[in-house]
Amino acid sequence: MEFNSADHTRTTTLESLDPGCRSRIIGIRAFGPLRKRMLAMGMVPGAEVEVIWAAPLGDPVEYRVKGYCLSLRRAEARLIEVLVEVR
Amino acid sequence: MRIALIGNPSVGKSLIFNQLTGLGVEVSNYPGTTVELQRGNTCFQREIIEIVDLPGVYSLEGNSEEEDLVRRFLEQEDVDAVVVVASATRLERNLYLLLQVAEYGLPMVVVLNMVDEAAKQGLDIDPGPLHDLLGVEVILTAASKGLNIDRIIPAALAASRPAKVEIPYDHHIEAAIRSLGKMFGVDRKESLRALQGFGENPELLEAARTIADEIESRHRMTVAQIIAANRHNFARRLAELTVREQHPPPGADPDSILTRFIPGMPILIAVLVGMLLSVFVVGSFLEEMIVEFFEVYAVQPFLALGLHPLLEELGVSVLIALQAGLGIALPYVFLFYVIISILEDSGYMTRAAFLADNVMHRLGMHGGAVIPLTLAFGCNVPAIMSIRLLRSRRERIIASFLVTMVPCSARTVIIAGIVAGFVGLAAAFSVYAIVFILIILTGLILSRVMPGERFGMIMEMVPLRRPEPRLVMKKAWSRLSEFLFIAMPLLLLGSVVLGLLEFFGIMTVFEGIVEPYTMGLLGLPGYSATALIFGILRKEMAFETLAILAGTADLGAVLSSLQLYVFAVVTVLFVPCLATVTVLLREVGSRITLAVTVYTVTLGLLIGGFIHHLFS
Ligand SMILES: Nc1nc2c(ncn2[C@@H]2O[C@H](COP(=O)(O)OP(=O)(O)O)[C@@H](O)[C@H]2O)c(=O)[nH]1
Ligand SMILES: [Mg+2]
Repeated sequence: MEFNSADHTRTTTLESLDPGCRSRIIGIRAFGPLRKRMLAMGMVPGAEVEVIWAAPLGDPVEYRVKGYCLSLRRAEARLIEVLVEVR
Repeated sequence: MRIALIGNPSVGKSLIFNQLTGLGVEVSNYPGTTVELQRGNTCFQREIIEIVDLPGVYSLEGNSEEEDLVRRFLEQEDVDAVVVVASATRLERNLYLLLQVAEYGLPMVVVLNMVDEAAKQGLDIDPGPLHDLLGVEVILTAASKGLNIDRIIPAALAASRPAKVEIPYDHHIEAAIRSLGKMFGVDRKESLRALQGFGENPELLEAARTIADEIESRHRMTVAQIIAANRHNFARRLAELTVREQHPPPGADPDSILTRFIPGMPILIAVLVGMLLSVFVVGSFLEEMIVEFFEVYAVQPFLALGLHPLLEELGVSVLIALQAGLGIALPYVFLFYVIISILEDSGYMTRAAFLADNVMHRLGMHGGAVIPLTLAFGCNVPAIMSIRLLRSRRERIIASFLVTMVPCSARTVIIAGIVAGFVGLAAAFSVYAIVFILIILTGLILSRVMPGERFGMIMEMVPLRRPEPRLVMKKAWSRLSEFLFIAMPLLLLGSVVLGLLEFFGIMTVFEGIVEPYTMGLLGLPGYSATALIFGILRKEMAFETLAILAGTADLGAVLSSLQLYVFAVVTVLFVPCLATVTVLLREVGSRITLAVTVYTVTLGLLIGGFIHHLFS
């Protein structure tokens, strides 16, 4: 995790965010078919993602992106780098 | 004239397809895949128009079977026009695929479906900007109400121009497109595809690769990511021009009820148990009625005719197959398809998958596997048919192994009739315990050793909506007829073969040959092998045949408790019934069906032998 005090943002991965958190994607570290699927579903650099909530056993997690909801397992969300604003 | 419907999953393509073609839907398997293309014909101004319903995809550049199929279809078949169906409620994401299709350069019509739902969500859809930017006709439809569906065919016939869209890419990508174009004389679309590693020309691919590597090292982002991000950005701009939010969507969110631990989990369990109960109660009631009806009005009158023995054997085999097929098909398959169609259309299926994913993932599958596995307790046949819900072939194969091992209601009859009846209740439960442990072990092992693509659990949560009874019944009926026309002939054939083997005394010879082995391995008399084989036809028949061959229904008098227990365990694990095998053949192909069969037979014999030797 990096903290950038100049513009009050920090970079982290999607899986570490709490429900209700909004962030902007800056990179996808997945490879092969998984990355292609993520890109096709709108998980692309620049997209805004909001965490909705996790399933009862903690996995998967529901996110809102591009005006619709999708679920991702934590192991997959860990591959998505995001930028969050720090209040 | 051929028109193809293309779009994201669950945007209403199939519904539009059905409305355009009416009845007369023809299902065809595309070579080399299990994914289906639906083709149908319609007549417009005395011209026959073929309409193809392509499987739903999110992109044309992925590696899933569906994406492969759609790509090959667009490249190889001559399509006169593509109708891109997009959901007006999720336009931004839908436009991503639309833009990719537009880059293919085929004549195109855009259908923005579900405008009724969009209106409910307070979205105002204006087709103007899309029409101006793409230069193609844009039709607003609500397929569930039949609104504007009649405008699709005329628009497709009139479509002669491809969309004129040019997506502005990052300047490095644009430069790469230009230099590849100069070097190889390829167009924009081909350059873009080459940059992402698609294409036939090895020199072009090599050059594209070098450029792509350079861009990647400069941007610290792969070319595919940059292209995808550019397309999504453009899609967002188009969506902003097209969709106006009139008022914020209503506050209460049913998902907060369905996907939270409380009450989400209790609801899921109630839905699954309800599904099972309805099959146990309604399904088995109907099955008994049909079987009884057949017995009284078909089998017995036929036997009373006193035909030549060979004819009689053939006739009875056919009747038994019909009885088994209709006895299973009508009550179980139909009932389950009604239930599945409701779960699918309401959108609850994705919520169930979301809740159950954690557990299913450990067994190597997607959360959606909870449905086939639960269905299997009622009857394996519809359960196997529903593994289609799983996205990758890898998961479908794992599911086909596990589903066939689940004790269905017919196997419950065996466990109840033989073990609970003659050995004891605790013993009956122990049979279930053995089977469950084996299922879990099989899942754990398969999830580790199975090769194949993993797409993870990236799943769209489709909107919840009230299912339409008429559409649900139609869907259930079309699936039922699929079972009747495809699985029934195979079932008939299998039954006749078994009947002939019996008639020509091959069974008796067989019993003599296997007796030493069944005695040595399982401690069972030779005739039990015949009962096991008849169990393939219908699982409960193992029980009935055993009683007939033993000469008494009081099995406890002729066989020891251990023998009965071993017989039940072997029957329950042994080859899935013929009806299951026929649907397996259709869903996963002959190799996997063979593997499942060999695995279950081996497992049954091994476990049976182990129990026999442990306790005798
Ligand atoms: N409200 C509404 N529902 C629709 C409309 N079109 C399709 N649906 C529903 O959306 C779901 C998915 O439709 P389907 O044709 O299976 O989508 P496909 O995956 O694209 O083939 C079904 O439950 C349809 O009844 C529409 O215009 N309005
Ligand atoms: Mg469809």
